Amino acid sequence: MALPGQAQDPNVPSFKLVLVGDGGTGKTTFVKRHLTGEFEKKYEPTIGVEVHPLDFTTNRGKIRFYCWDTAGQEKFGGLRDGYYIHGQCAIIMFDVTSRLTYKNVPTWHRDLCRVCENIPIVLCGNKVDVKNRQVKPKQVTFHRKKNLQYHEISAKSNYNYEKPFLYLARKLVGDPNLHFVEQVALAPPEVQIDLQQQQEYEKQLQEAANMPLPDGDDDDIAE
Amino acid sequence: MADDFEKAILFSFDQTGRVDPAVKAQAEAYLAQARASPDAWQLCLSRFESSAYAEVRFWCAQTLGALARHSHSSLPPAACAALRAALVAHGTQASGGPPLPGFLKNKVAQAIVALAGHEYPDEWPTFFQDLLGTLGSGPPAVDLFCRILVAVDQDIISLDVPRSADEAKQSMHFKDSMRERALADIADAWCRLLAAYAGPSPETAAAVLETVQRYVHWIDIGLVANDRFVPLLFAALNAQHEGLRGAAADVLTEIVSKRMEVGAKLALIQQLGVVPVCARWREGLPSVGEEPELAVKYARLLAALATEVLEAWKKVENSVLSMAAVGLEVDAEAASEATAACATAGQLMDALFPAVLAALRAGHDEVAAAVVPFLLSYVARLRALQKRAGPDGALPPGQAAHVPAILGSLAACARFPDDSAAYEVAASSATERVAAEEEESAMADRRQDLFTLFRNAANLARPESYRFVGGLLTTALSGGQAGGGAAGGGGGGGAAWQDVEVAVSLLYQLGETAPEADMKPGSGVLAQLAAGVMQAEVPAAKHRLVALALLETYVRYSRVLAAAGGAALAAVVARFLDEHGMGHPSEAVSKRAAYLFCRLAKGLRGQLRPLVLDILQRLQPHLAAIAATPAPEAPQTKSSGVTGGRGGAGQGLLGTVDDRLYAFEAAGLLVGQEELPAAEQRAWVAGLLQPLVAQLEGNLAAAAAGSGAAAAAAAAAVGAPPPALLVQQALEAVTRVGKGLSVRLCTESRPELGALLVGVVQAAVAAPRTLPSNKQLRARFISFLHRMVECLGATLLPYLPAALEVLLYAEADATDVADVLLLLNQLMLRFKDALTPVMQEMVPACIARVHSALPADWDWSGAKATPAALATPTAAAAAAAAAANGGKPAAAGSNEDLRERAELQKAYYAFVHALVHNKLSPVLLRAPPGTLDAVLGALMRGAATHVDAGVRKTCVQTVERLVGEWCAADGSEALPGFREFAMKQFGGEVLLEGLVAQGSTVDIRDAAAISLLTEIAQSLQLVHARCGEPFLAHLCGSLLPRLGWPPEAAQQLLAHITGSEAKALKDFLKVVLQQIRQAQAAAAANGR
Repeated sequence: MALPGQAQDPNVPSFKLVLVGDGGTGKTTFVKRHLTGEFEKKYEPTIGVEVHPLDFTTNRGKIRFYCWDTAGQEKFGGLRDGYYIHGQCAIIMFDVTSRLTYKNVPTWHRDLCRVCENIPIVLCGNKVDVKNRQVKPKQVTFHRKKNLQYHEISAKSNYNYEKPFLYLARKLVGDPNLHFVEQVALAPPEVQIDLQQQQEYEKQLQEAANMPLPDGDDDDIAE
Repeated sequence: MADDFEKAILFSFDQTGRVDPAVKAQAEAYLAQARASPDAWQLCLSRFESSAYAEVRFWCAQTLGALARHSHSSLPPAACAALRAALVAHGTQASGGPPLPGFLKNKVAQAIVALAGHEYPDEWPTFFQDLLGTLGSGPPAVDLFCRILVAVDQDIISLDVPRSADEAKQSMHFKDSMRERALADIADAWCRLLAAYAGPSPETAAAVLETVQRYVHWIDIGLVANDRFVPLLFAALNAQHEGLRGAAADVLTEIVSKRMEVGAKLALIQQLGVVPVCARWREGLPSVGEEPELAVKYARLLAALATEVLEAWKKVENSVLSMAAVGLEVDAEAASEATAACATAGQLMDALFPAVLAALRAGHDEVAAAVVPFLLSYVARLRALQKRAGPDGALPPGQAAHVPAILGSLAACARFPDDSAAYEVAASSATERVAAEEEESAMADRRQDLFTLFRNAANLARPESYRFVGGLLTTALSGGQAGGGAAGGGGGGGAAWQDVEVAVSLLYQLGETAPEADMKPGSGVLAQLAAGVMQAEVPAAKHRLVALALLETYVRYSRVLAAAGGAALAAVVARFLDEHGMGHPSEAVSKRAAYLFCRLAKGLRGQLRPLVLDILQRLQPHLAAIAATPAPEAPQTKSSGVTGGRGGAGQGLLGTVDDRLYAFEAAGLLVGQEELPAAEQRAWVAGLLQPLVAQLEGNLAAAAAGSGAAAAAAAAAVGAPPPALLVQQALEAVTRVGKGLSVRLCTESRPELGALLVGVVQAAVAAPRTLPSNKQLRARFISFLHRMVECLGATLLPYLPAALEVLLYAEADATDVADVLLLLNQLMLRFKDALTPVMQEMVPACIARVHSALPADWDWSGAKATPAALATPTAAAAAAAAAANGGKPAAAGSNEDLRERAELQKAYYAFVHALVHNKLSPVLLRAPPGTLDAVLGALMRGAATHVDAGVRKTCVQTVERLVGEWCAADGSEALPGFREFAMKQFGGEVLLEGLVAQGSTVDIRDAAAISLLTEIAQSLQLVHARCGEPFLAHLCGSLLPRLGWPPEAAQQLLAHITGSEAKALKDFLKVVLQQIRQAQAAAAANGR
């Protein structure tokens, strides 16, 4: 799966990571944080798919994610779920400042799981640096129904950047104690996250974990 | 070999970049054409059959699905029939061949469901029966059947996926049709398949159960909760295969959670026989060790069951209660039904409860987390029962019995595991550190809820909870005597650190919500427990986590310490200062100890007085170490770090406050007590301050010797902190010591202490003088001055000019000058005209500096520096750049520079405003020539033109005050020509002309503008009061005609100025302004 101009090192375990979610949720920003390339402020809908090799160094050696940054917007997506074929892990991204992007998470999850059965998936709520968030931690329950990992992240401030990759790496390698041993070179944070606010959110999230899930879809009383 | 069609698909899939973009575009165009052709379905069907490439087959199935979904009406009926048959044949692999990969099978299933979505039940009434008919042909057919049921749920029924109104209607219709025509057969097939495959192919059986789980919530419960299916389900729950067991647990969870009426629910739960199965888990949940994901499913089943029983119980009780409350008769039959239901629920709950607690003790986060919500509502219910029983109400005995068990399980769950990753003092490797950090942060998260539960449960039965924690403490602490205090590793004869840590932490938690009586030293039970811990030789006391728990608990129960006094108090204080506290090798402990010791010193100041000398001696080495090791400057950028976690993101922001400095605050609090003997006190304060002054002076010399950067580099080379940081640390340390020294102490009762501080001020002035451009140092120096004002009061005044002049150093930029103005405002507010001598020196200097930063061509209206004007991309970039520079001065002419200077202008107005409102205006009269002109000029421009009505008002108010002071009613004036100025320039040009001027931004819809109008009205009347007729003559004879006011309007204005309340004049001005704006707008429209 090496990209042109890149010799694939057979000693570096590599995994295809599929990155999905609505347009504008910050997928491309997220992958580009890892690279030396400058963070793009302007929003350009991803055409089709771009593949980024993202390397991390763990206590067990190097690991590489070939991150497939897929199109969020239907009209640009040439093959849509065709890109998921042979995906080994995935990140579903939504934007905590846009309810609609969270509402569409189940659709992304469904389409993903139909092509990639039983792969580790992380749900990421992006843009938690923005003050006016629309999807509160309490409202994020989808991951509990589907046993996904959930992380709140902020691509712009690098907040929790490595968390999703760490989870996936542990699942893929099968070592719950795996950890990253080197700081990843990230673009400098563009905004500082309001830490107190975020801790408040984390607390809410924790509280939310103890709330009963919202009622099912169907109000039928037993017949 | 691939043909053109296949090549086109393969090219379009390519992501390696090896395919020429032009070729790829050509391929995609070709495929789009193929997709649009009328016989696309035939092409796709045949290629799906024949191609060897998974990508090609995927594309074909995807295209078929899209055709069926979106273009169904354009497919001829024959095509539909052919597609149905062919897809089912492919999906079941009727023709054999290698098994299809999962994603292809799913695609086929989706295409079939897309057809069925349009055709069932009218055109394809036998959809489900057709599928059921294939099941005999073996596992591939069963597999397809399951995938189709999943796709029906996902694509048609489930409301997880957002659906349109039409789709929702279709979904209802589809469900109704299934109920009428198919569900009975499908349920029958579930039974048959489960029976047939549980043994030979458990994966298949699990897949079947997964489909059942999706349907339970909306189908007739009798279809699954029956004598035929339930035994099969329980057999599956006991199967060898983990996946099958988990799937069975999930189905049971769905059945148990199904919404139904209370009586029916209790009957269902009993009929299922699931309670005895779960009750058996009281000895521990199966599979926790080997297969935790399965154990989580069990725990969820258990929690669902317990929650349903509890909810049913509550509902029955509440219905009886609410009927009684509204005075309705509860008839005998209903009452006995309710009693029976409650009895049933009670029995079920008693049976389940031990298993719930076993889940809590299972030592697995997710397993425990599954039952926590249930326990929260269970404890809440007990509380409600207790309340209902009256003020001294007791719980029913059966339920009270659960409380100690709950406490015990919570304690077990909150305890660090025996094989904990937490290291004792320092991590031996990065791996160990990361593992410990993760475990500790997970534990902190888990404890949030556990401790809430613990406190709530303890509130139900306080004596029991004290006995329980007392028991834990006895075991943990006595372990120390048996095994020796050093045994920290756990195991062996001594108590493990985990036991000590959890027992002490729980004691702390009890103290959080305890009633007064229990906390009372001596008689209170909790106070006795705490005293026991304070006196005990605690095993593993040096373990980081134990040390932290102990320190927190000492402070929590400081009242007990205060009452104990004497040796007990001394012993605990010693622990804060020795290797259990500030001397602990772990920085987390030593830092926290400094903070907590400060809290202790604040609370027990008097009790600690006899110990001051001893404390100071022990504290001294810590103070020296803290002073010598300032926290490195906060890095500007920080990623979430190797370990991530909130700490990672937090350090960059919160790390700037060095908690260790609380040690100086504690020292200050202790030595600053008036009751101490004077001579000793002076010696102690001097002993605290001297080394800090020496550090300040010594490092300033070093910093001055080489210029800042070179000195820092030299220091870094030998591993020492940069001199400038050491200077800052010393300043901050003095500031903290000062917090304990009150102004009364320093100026009245012990002026010799004040003299010591004055000495520090004199020395400290050298710091900003030597390193004028170090912004952090300036900020520290300013906060130091603030503290000295608090300590020294007016005694400080003679020394202020020197300090302030240093801050106004030659290269001071706009922000620096604004900082000084702000500081002066605060000083004026406090000292009023006592500050006159200081201000006499400072005002001319400040005003000169302001006007050199805001030259003659500066835009005094502020229009170019509004947020809107600055909110251009370049402004954002400049702001970001400034932030990244760490507050280096903004480039001249940049937006950031504009903004800073605009801020300075506002600070300047606030400064003059404060000056004239704090009896200091004579300073302006005595200032060198030119100063007053500059001030008045700036005020007039601000009052007449500033875009911010609030700023205008500040200016108007300031001049108004000056007019009031300098133009006496008897016709004299404080300086020649001021009366003329007040009438013509202030009263005329600024107040009236500036208000109505073309392009003036005063907007009367803005509340600030109304307040400005009020101010203007008052000023006009004041000018008239002080200047009389000549003012009116100036208005009538010169200004108003020049402004083109009609004579009637002018007369009205004069009448209001001379005869109305200020409010009436304001209202008049408002109306005039409205009319003028309308006229101006109309003129502008005509002119266009």
